[in-house]
Amino acid sequence: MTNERRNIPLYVLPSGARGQPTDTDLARALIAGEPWAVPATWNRFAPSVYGIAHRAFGRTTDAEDITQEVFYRLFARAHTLKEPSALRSFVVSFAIRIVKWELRRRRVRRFVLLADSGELPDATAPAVDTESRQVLQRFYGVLDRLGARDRLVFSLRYLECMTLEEVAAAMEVSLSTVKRSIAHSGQRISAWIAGDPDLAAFFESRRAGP
Amino acid sequence: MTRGAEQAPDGVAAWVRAASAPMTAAQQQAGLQAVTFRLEQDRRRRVQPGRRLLVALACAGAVAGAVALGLPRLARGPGPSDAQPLTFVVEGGAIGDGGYVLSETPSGARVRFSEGTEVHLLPGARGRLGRVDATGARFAIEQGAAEVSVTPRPGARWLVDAGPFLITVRGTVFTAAWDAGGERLDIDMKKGRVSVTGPVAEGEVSVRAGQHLAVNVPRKEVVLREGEARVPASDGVTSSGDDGGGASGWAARGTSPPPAHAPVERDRGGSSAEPGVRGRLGDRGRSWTAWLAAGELDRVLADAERRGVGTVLAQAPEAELAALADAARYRRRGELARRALLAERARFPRSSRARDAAFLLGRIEEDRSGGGPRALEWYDRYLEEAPTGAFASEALGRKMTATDRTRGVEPTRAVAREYLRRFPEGSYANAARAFVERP
Repeated sequence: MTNERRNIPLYVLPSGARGQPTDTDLARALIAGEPWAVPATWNRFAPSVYGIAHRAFGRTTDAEDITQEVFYRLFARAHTLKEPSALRSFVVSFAIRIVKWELRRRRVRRFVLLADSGELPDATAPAVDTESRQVLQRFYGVLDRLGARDRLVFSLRYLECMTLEEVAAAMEVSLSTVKRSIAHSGQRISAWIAGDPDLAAFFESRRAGP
Repeated sequence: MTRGAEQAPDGVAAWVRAASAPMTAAQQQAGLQAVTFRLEQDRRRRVQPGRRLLVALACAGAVAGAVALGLPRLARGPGPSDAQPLTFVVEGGAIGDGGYVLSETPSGARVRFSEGTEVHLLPGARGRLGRVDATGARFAIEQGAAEVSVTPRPGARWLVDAGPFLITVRGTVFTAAWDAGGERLDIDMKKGRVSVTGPVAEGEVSVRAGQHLAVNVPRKEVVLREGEARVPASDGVTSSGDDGGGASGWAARGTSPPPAHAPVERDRGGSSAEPGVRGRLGDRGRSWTAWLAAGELDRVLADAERRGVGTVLAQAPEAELAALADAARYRRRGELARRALLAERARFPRSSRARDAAFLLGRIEEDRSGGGPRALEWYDRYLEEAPTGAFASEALGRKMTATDRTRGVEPTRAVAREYLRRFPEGSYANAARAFVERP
């Protein structure tokens, strides 16, 4: 059997420098309408966009929907991308714009309907226990009380660990606006958590350690 | 902004970050299919108004011509240039939202088109039907294998998406498999020719009848081999200097049953080892590997039991042991799968399958109550034996989560750091970052 297999011709096709296309290659391929560019762009950036959306909304289904929406719009408008080398920031700014738009839409709906779905978000975190899941759900309930801009600033600063300057650039607002928003949202969230005995006790116990 | 004012939410935010789950491979695949489906729908909507006008003009011209010349031209059968889209039926399944093909039978779902083309999703595979028009259709394999048989017609246009790859087809017969977790593409050509484009290949790769294409995206490896895929993984591995995780080595160990590229023909004329148990099972000359590829899992298990599991484990060739282990895993018969994998390792200790078996044994142990520590041992062993193997990223990621469950924060953090160092963009990278940052 081994001898027979040795006779099988084998060709290894070098993948060359384009084995992993750069962001610029990807952007150019998207603009040119190359069929492979759509899945390649998705595979490269979708996990990041999903992470941003998941941390902003705290719900898996929302994160999936937002991610799809971001890329659907992105691919439909790929030809408008002016700087191919800035594909990553193009994707992130696109994602943030859609997250902001969705947060605003939901806040308006909550004013009208009291809640987007009538319930607190079903925050999902498969790796944590039931208590943690409940805490996460209540935490996103707290975040829901913030305005869309404050919430997104908080999310980008604390959950995405962006610098203040990065947040300002991503939100297309001034640095001082970001600082005001951070101060405002931070104080309010701290106060709301302190006013919720369960949440406060949970985070206090985390701070104290096991 | 003082740091003190930011201090309060910091601990909360770190905890929320740690609790946030990364996007899974399945979510990634499903999302991509949903997006491409919407884009395709848009494209169709944009094209249709113009097409309707052209079709109307063409029909009017054809009728006028037929009447004028008295020729029965309209009696001919439909061709790709006709505007009438193909129709299709789904056997053994149904079409769900977004074109998702839902299999309802153990043998998988078949999509049969009106001009004779057929796409058979093999058991365990998931797929999605996109564009369908007069020239053909676009079908996406989300996970697993599909047998595609396209009826040749002039002007036909059939496209098959498999992960980031696009397979352009004319008239041909082939099996394509995509492993979303391992990012591996496998194409077995039976008739005709297809061209494959994707991020790893330099331009188009043309695959003709009798050839087998294997692409491993993480390793940026493209292997085109003569003689279909009737060669077990270890062949290509040896020839190309692969360590066992090469593109050609994945198929029998995918997360779904592999494509039909069993070592049937070559085994028949191959070594003389154990002729009585070597998979020539007296049924049209088909092997367990071929049964597995056809989704006949129970048949493999029943035959192993009929012959005696102990005898099979002691005497069957490596490919058959692997088929038995896979069939048992798919049927959730963990103990039988474990015994088959242990037999693989004991009897063929230097093969690539034996190395893969270490990873699979870890998976099985993880599913067993209290199996965490043993799972860790197997993952460690796999990472030691195949540090750059096809499952290395997943083994280390699973080791990280298993460590979290069994050994606590600090050991998990160490594994997470190692993961980020080796696979900074791996599917467990977000989880690893969360573990590193966890207070």
